[in-house]
Amino acid sequence: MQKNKASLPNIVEFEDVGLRYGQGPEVLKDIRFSLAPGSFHFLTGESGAGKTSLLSLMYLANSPTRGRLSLFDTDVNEENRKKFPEIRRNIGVVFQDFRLLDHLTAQENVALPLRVMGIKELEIKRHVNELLSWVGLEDHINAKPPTLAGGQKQRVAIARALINRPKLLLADEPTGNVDDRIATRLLRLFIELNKIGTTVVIATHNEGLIERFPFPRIHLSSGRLKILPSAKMSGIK
Amino acid sequence: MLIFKKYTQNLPFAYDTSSLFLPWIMMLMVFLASLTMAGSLAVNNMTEHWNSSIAGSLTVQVMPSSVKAAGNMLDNTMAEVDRAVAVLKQAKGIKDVRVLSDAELGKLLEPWLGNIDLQDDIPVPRLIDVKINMAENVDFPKLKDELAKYAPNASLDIHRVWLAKLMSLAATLNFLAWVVMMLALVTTAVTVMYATFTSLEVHRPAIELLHLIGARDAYISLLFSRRTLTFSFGGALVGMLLAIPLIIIIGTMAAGLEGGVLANASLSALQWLLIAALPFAAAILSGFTAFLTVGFKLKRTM
Ligand SMILES: Nc1ncnc2c1ncn2[C@@H]1O[C@H](COP(=O)(O)OP(=O)(O)OP(=O)(O)O)[C@@H](O)[C@H]1O
Ligand SMILES: [Mg+2]
Repeated sequence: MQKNKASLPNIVEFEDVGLRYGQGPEVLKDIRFSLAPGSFHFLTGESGAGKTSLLSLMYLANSPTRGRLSLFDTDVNEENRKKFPEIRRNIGVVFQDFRLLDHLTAQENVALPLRVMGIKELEIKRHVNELLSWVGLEDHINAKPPTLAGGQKQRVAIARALINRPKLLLADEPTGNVDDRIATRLLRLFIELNKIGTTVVIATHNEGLIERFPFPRIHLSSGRLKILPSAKMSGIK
Repeated sequence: MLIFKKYTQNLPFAYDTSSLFLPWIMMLMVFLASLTMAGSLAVNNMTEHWNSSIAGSLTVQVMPSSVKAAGNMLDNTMAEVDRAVAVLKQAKGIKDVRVLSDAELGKLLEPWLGNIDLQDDIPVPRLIDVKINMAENVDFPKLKDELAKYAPNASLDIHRVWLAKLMSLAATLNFLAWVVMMLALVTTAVTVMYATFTSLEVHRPAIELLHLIGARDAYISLLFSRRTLTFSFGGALVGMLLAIPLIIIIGTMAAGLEGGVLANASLSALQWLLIAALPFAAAILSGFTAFLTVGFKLKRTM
């Protein structure tokens, strides 16, 4: 075996990437970093620092205005546009604003990524209900998003991101609307997923969470990126 | 209808106004198309019937010339027959002209007059059998004028001249029917196109989400076309169902007309089937248009 773990291609690679919206200023500058398979990072930075923008590059909602970005060893550019759906099917996204479809039930919302892939309805239902129980929504399977509380919607969004066991999970403030107990529980769910190989990036403001888990941080400040070591305070508590 | 239900539930798109007005347009278009088609088919049936009644031979009758005229009456009559034959022979669309022989005439008249000798001075009309070439249009009015000029006692079957006029009217009506059908088709396609554009705009966030969770353009196009097909079919079906009683009423009224000219207008089972197929055709047309429209738009802008 010549290949060892270290030589596996990176899941994500940024090379001097810049992003600007329209004619506006560059909100991300000279971004250079990579995510190894199976890694787990927090994404931090104050409001407006560009966390959502950085994630949006990774889930292919925006494309870099300069530099090179590659996902799963495929360059993100116009020529590879045809491959985008395939790439996206390997990425689970928890959007900061959830983006649930209001006229569909929780179950149907969570099932959507599987439907889009053409998976049989029968298999879908079982999987979906199982996962909804996991995030504590077994009593709200048939509820529509407008009737759900913020934290419940968030968990539906999380379930939708996890339903097809993505290779890369991008979560934008996934614990912003839940109390600490549920936040911890959800984070453990992400950790479980990470243990079976999923690469995870979680954007969060929750200092408590960051300090409780031993994961390195991708820190953004005025559009520039720094990798910081884990903020877990060993010895305290 | 059940099969359509299956495809419309759980659609990632909520209802919107474009999906509400589409069935109405479809209803109107299919209503119009059904009536037009029924009309056109009925007219076709009639012309076919007329065609076969005109087909074959046409008879020109030459009345015995007036007693007052100088000379032998029989000779005068026969001279007029010859002139009529000359006129007929040079007319367009006429294949063959043949004067019925005395023997033939005698046979025809036998039931009324018994065994007679036509060389006697009994004034008997002479008949000319004319074979028409169906591929060409005989100019009956002109023929009638010429006959009147050279052989005033020859008469053309007026009924048939009238039918020929009706037939050219029928052809015009048929052409108009096709124009209406084409307009309905184009209107349907254009309506679906614009409804789809509007709908795409309304559902832009949902479409973007579907893309982000890995949907291909074709998947989204298919969702739209199924939805459009279902909505269209509902409206189209109602349009056809509304048209059917009207077709039957008009048909019954036409059949009751005096003279029975329109009696052969009634539609055959196959023709009814053709009308019944209209809503399906319309639904498929609009589904297909929606599919192409979404594909086009997604490739361009999203
Ligand atoms: N669609 C957009 N069009 C124009 N500017 C945008 C757009 N989205 C974000 N921006 C700008 O980009 C910058 C970074 O925004 P972004 O949403 O990435 O920040 P964030 O770190 O996610 O903030 P928060 O913690 O509040 O979610 C901000 O200045 C914002 O105004
Ligand atoms: Mg954000």
